[in-house]
Amino acid sequence: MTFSPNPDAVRTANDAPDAVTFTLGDAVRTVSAVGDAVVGTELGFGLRVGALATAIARRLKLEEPAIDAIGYAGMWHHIGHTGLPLDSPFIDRSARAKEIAAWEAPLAGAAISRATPAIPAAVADAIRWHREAWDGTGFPDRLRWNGIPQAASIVGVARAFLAGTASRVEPREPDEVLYELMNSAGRAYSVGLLRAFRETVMFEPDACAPGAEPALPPLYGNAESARALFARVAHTIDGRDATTIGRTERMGRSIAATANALGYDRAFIERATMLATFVTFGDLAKIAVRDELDPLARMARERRAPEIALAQRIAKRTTTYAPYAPMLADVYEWFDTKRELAIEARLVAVASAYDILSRVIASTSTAASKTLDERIYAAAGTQFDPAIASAFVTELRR
Amino acid sequence: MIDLNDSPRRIAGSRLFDILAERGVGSLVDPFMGIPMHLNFLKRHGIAVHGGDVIDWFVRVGEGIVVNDFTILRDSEVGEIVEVLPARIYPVDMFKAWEGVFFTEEQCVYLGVWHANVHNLRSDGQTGLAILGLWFVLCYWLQKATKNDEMPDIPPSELAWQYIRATERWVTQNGRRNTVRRGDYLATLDAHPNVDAMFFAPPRRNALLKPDSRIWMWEAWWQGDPYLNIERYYRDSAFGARMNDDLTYDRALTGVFAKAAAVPTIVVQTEAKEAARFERLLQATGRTTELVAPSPGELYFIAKR
Repeated sequence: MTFSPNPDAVRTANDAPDAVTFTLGDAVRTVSAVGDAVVGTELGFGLRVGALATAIARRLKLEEPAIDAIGYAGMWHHIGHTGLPLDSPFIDRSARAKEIAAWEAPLAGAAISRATPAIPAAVADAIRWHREAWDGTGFPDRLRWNGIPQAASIVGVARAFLAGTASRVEPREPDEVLYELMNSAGRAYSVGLLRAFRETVMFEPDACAPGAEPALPPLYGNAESARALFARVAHTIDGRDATTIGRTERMGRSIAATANALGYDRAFIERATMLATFVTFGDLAKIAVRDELDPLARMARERRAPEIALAQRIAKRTTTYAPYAPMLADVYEWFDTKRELAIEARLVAVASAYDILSRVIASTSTAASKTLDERIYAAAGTQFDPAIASAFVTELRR
Repeated sequence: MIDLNDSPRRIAGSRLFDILAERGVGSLVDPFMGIPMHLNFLKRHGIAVHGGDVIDWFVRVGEGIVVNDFTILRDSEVGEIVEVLPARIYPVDMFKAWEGVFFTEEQCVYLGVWHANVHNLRSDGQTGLAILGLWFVLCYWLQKATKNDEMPDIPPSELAWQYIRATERWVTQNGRRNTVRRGDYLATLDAHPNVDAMFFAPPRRNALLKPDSRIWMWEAWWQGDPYLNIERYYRDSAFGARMNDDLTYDRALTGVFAKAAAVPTIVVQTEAKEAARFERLLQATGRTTELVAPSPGELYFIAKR
């Protein structure tokens, strides 16, 4: 397995780990794809919203920094949905309860944006209030009129248009959605904004075409900031289900300890941790809380196929993270398969199985620790790489 | 034609909640609450809220979305608000004075009908929701009067139906006692001596002498008097006097801070050009101040005892 990250995205200044020369563009795009996945649109939807929103902003002759902020807000407008609780088979939440829960999504998205230093500060507010309505009936704050930041309204109208035309469930003709939005003048959006929006859609069809992307200046940070961003998003995804809170962090710790014990370098640990993060992104294919299947059963592999497929699609969106796609296919593959599996994937496979087992057993039995170790050992050589499984359990005991 | 001078000022409950949650605030009083959307947000997030204002319809709306924990309107009840009911005599001329000036003849008739129907409701919660929903209709009409060609014609009862239905979604409960009262800030603060915090978004100088047209107009509608002048509500209040000098304005602000002396935390929302004034006045009360500026237009002073 060779690993060839995008040369634009690697550290360049003497390979110093904290050098502020890392292009965050691919990380930001990946997070946008995560947002697309969680709201169930095609991957690239966030980029399209960003492209249309920046085109509207240019037509309104906003200043460049504001336009850039609008572009990023469009890309990330839906990222807060990653934190919405999963449906539970045991609790029949009403449509109203789900709607009220969704009011929190823009706030969660704004929090993720605000916690990302490289993202312009104005992006958080545009995400926070992009679902507000001009008349004061939107959410989360029911701001009205000019109290709503213009950037937020622009992102909001771009999202509404593309959500109508690109809906997977019921896609509609652009003219139909345009008509509907123009009819919301004075209620959902201001007359002035809708005028600019209509002109953009009519005269700049490329801005809302499939595959459109906003032209934005590169964001710079260090490599750590990209990892921190992914960790934050993964943490939010883990929080959707009470049983998985902190899962990615736990896996990251056990991966690092095992890799250190086996003598792997820092780059390996970073790759393996990133792989675990992508496994978490794949978790977005799950739309409801469900019983975890025994991770040591072969059936679990098939059951997780949609999750792995989603994680691969997200990874393939950018050249920096595309090399993780084949590794993701290896995560739930068994060691005794005929092909060579990526070592990072072998490590993540053990860490993931252990994490699931520890949660499942913890909820059913108190004498769990020994049983867990035994079960991991028992799968060594068939499901898991025996060297990695052994080191993993040794490190856990330590 | 009416001048709709939309202020870019925003009072965002979510922003306020971020500040309060970080500081462990469990109850809050806002003696100048206005339309209490922010209190509704805080209530939904578990904070006990208490509001006060001198404008009656603000207080009525507060009864709908702040005090009210569960009452909504059934379809038939919304119908009885928005439609002209048979076999009833309506004061259709009540708002004739606005006809041709702000509204059409049909709109003025509906204002009279809705006034009667809403006053006929027996539940404070339902009344509050109806007043708020119909206020959105008023704003829509006034806006449409200035941009007639670009906004769709929607039948009055349909528009009212949609808006009243929208307000229902905001009814929530937090297991705490939440209140609103009509009165000056003195009475509101007196009534809630044990709250954790006071929120104060002070009116700008002389702002109360030029209230938003939609605010006074809706109070006039609620009171059934199209000639109502709400300046008289404010005349004897802290910020009601004409304040052409800094000293008078400072004195009014100091009065509020002094009255809230027992409240552990005061959160003041202001803007950059007034920041120095509020820092000075708050520090003069012996409190330690902290400035939170989440965006250029929003500054919050958090003053702790």
